[in-house]
Order: sequence, then C-alpha cells, then structure tokens
Amino acid sequence: MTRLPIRWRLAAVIAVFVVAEMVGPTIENAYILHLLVLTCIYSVLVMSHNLVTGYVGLFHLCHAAFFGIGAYISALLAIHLHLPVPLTFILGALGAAISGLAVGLLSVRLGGHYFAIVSLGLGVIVYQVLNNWVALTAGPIGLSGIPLPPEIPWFGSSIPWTPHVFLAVGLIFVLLTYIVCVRIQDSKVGLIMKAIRENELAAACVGIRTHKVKVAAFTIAAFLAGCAGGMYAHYSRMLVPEQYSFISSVELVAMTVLGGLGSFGGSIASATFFTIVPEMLRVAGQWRLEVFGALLVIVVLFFPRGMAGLGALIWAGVAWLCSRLGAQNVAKWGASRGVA
Amino acid sequence: MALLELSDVTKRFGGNEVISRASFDVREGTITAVLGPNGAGKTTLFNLITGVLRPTSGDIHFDGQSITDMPVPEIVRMGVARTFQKLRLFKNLTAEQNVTLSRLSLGTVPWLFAFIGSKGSRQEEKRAVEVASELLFFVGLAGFEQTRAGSLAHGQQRVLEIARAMALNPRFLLLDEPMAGLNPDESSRLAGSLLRIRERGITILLIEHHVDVVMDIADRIVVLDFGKVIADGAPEQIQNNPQVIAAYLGGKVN
Repeated sequence: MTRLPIRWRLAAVIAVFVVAEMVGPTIENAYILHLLVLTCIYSVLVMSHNLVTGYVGLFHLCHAAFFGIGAYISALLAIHLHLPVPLTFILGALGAAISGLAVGLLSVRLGGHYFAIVSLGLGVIVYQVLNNWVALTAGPIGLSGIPLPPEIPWFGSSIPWTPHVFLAVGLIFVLLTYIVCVRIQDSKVGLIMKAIRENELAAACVGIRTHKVKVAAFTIAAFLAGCAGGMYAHYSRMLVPEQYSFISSVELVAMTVLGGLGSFGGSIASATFFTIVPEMLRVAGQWRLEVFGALLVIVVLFFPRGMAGLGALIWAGVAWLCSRLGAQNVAKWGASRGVA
Repeated sequence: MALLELSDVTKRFGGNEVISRASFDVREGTITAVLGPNGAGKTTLFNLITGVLRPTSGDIHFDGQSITDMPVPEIVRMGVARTFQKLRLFKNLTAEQNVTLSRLSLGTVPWLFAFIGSKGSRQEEKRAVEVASELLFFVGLAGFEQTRAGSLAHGQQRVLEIARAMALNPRFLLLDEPMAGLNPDESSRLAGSLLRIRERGITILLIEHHVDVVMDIADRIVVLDFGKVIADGAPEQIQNNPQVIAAYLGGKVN
C-alpha cells in the first residue's frame, strides 16, 4: 500500500470526528446521548482488543478484566483517597497496563489454546475478587458515589461534566486511540506484529524477539482498556462487577471479530453496532436478543472478514463506479482498498 | 577457519535418539551439504543449530562463541539465517514485506521513533525496501513485489524464503531442501544463485536430495544416517565411500 491512502483515511476519520463533535451538542434525547457515550467507550475497548487479537494474533478471554481493573482502581482512589480524577484515571490505566504486562509474560510461556484457557481463568479471578471483596468493592451491590472529574476551567468560568461534555471528550478518546492504533499498524511495529500472527517460528527466525513484542502489545492494549474503564467509572458513577465478567470478555471477542480482525475502523463500526442495534431492536419486544443473535450469525456467514470486509466491498463498488466515470487514479486506490 | 563447530551433539525425543554424538565443523566461505536418507535427522540438526530445539547434550559454537542455549532471535542476530523445508512464509503479507521484515526486525530505530514516524525511521523503511527489491531481483522475483506471498507459485515461494534469509545479511545461511519441488531448470538456476551467494562471502550449509547438484556445487559433504555422521569429506571421497552407498542402497558393509 502506498502512503497516500493512509493520509486520506486519517483525513476521513478526522472529518467524521469533527462532524460528530458538532452534532453531539445538538442531541437532546438523554438516552441517545447515553448510548453514544457508551459507544465511544466500547470503541476504545474493542480497538485495544483488536491490537492483541487481530495483530499479534493472541486469542485471549480476559480483556474485560483490564477494563474492570482500570475502572475500579480509578473509582476507589477517587472515593477513598480523594485524589483528583485525572490522576486516578491515569493510575487506573497504569494498573491495567501492569496487569496486562503480567498476562503478556504468561502468554510467552503458553501457546494458543492453553493461553486462551489460562486467560479465561485470570478473567474469572478478577471478576471474583470484584464480586466478593465486599469491604473494598461493595461486591454485587455495586460501587456508587464515584465523583465526577473536576470542572474544566474555560476562560474564567468553568464547564461542568454534563453528558454532552462526556460525549465530546469520549470522541477525542476514540480519535486518539484510533490514531495510536493506525500508527502502530503503519509503522514497522505493526508489520512485526503481523509477522508473529502469520508464523511465530518464522518471525523468530528473522530475528524478531517475539516474547518482547507480545508483552509490549499486551501492555499497550491493557493500558487503553484501563483508560476506557476509568472513563466509564466516572461517567456512569456506579460500577457493578457483572460488567467485567467472562461474558463481557466473550462479547468483546464477538465485537472484534464482527468488526474485522486487524481493522480498527471496523472495530469502531462494530462497537457502534453492538451498542445501538440491540436498542433499536426493542420493537421486537422479548425477541430482541434472539433477533440480534440471528443478525450476528448472518453477518459472520456473509462477511467472514467482518464489517471491514463489508467496507472493502463498498470500496470495490466505489472503485468500479469511479473507473466508469474515468477517474482512474481514484479507482486504482479504491481497488487496492478493496483487496487489502 | 571453522565458522560452525558441533561437538558431540545428541538429541533425544523420549527414548528415541535422533542425533547421536554428531561432531563436524563448517569452514568459512564454503558450501557444505548434509546428505542422508529420510529420517536421518537432517532437519533436526538444522533446528539444533538455529536454536529452535535444544540439544540433549553436546555443544554448538558459532564464530568461537557457544550458541547452544541461545534463543532463536539472538542466534539470528549473530548472523545465522535459515529457510524451511516446509515453507514458513508470512503468507498474507506481500513478497516485499516478507523481505523488508528481516531488515526492519534487525533495525536500530527504536519503536517509539518508528511510531511517531521520525526521519530516521522513514529512512530505515526506505532502505529496507531498496534492499528488498535488490534481493527479489537477485532471486528472480522482480515484478512480484506487491504479490501476496501465499499466492506465489511453489518455486517462487522457495526462492522468496531465500531472499528473506539473505535480507538478514547473514554470515551463515542454512538451506533446508531449497530445491524440493523445483523443476530441473529452476534447480540449476538456483544452484547458480547459491554459488553467487558463496562468492559474496556467505557460508552455506545445505540439505539437499538432488545428489547430482550437490556433487557439483558442494565443497564438502557430511552424510548422516540414523542420527550419526557416517562420512565427512570432499564430494569425490563421499561418492566412493562404501558406508554411504550402503546407507542409500541398503547393501552390506564389509
């Protein structure tokens, strides 16, 4: 792939970002606003999951645990030690990164299915601790009274943290995470990660220190998941262990696969799909989740590369159209996107 | 001078001794071939030298330094590169990316600089692409830079593995049956390439079943049978060695 499309892609994403930031404040329906904030948080989470599963090719089942660790550390530090929220947020993300480092070290020793099972166990441990250490986490009742971040100073006055502000900040988070992921993808780091996914032994035999790459990828992904957790904690101001269970990790895997392994744009699309569509299906009444499940099956059956595959198909269509209109350069670019 | 030295190397899988007390050395700047019937332990020997497997006992020295317990990537960084009998390309990457990866993995630009796209990292990438296109030309894959490695023909995949190994700038190249599945024309062209690689000062250790080609290009031949080195010498000596004939034809040794 040439350099140009990457710039175009970034430009397109930034354009979408600007439009979203402008549309955000005009939304008055509180429920839709809530769903959009959740979409932002889940987008960050799914992109970070994709970095490990889609790039390094390490299938794991404890990503929701990193999300939970970030959320609970930030919330508990803010509640009990009264630390300012931006600081607790960073500490939460660092806490998640350290646990990611530990899991990454384990992944070095264990291959494939064995690692997936061990990661499942680790995820369950985190959930059990959150659920049963009632003195610290309030257990299944849920941790409440989580403070809001301090108001943002703005030319003498200050902006309180309304859902609109959360949406604006959430969008910035999505954009930053996307840029980080795409930069990793386009630099030699991404190529090295892909090599490990393709063939680990061959990667080692061209001098790639596969252990270090795996640990680094896990640490970065867990850090990003911890950020998503901190954001969720101070937005919802109420944490329930159920959100960080094994089922949530499986949902994240589903979201990543649905979006397309290795496609970060697909991850955002998939996070949006998973957050919004079940709500739109409320018209189906009690059959809501069954219909949603059927939709998932259909998408996976017809688009095995997930939403990224769907996107590629659209690009191929655009390329065809452009070639008919005589815009050869754009057509060529579109075709390369369609194949990639 | 010996670049590679194996002394009393033994490898057991459970009770099965695959390599038993193998000792030989490879002199710098030569092509050494490893011959032997199927199951003689040739590929295991390669895996031991490159660190993919650890010997049960014995020592392996490269350039005077012990590499017996060194991890695979560190051995690569000492200048040992290999190809695989059962191809192990990065199938979903392009031919060019397969080769640039070797350069970039040994690159000195720290990840953080690569991540922010610093000038140094862009130069490193540009240089890697240049080296890749030179090597792809060298092995006859010019024009296939942007082709997915998995979509190349079998013979092209074989030489792509060689280009990928060459991009590591090795001092020592291990080739595991590079001519398997090639037609006579392709094999003789590859034989020519191997001689040119030797001219570049790169030492080659080669596993090959095309005995006629081996006799032509090898400076020295090591013959393995049931994990034991049964002969070691110049091609003419090996040709007339009764033990070798026995191993291949199943005759009796007097």
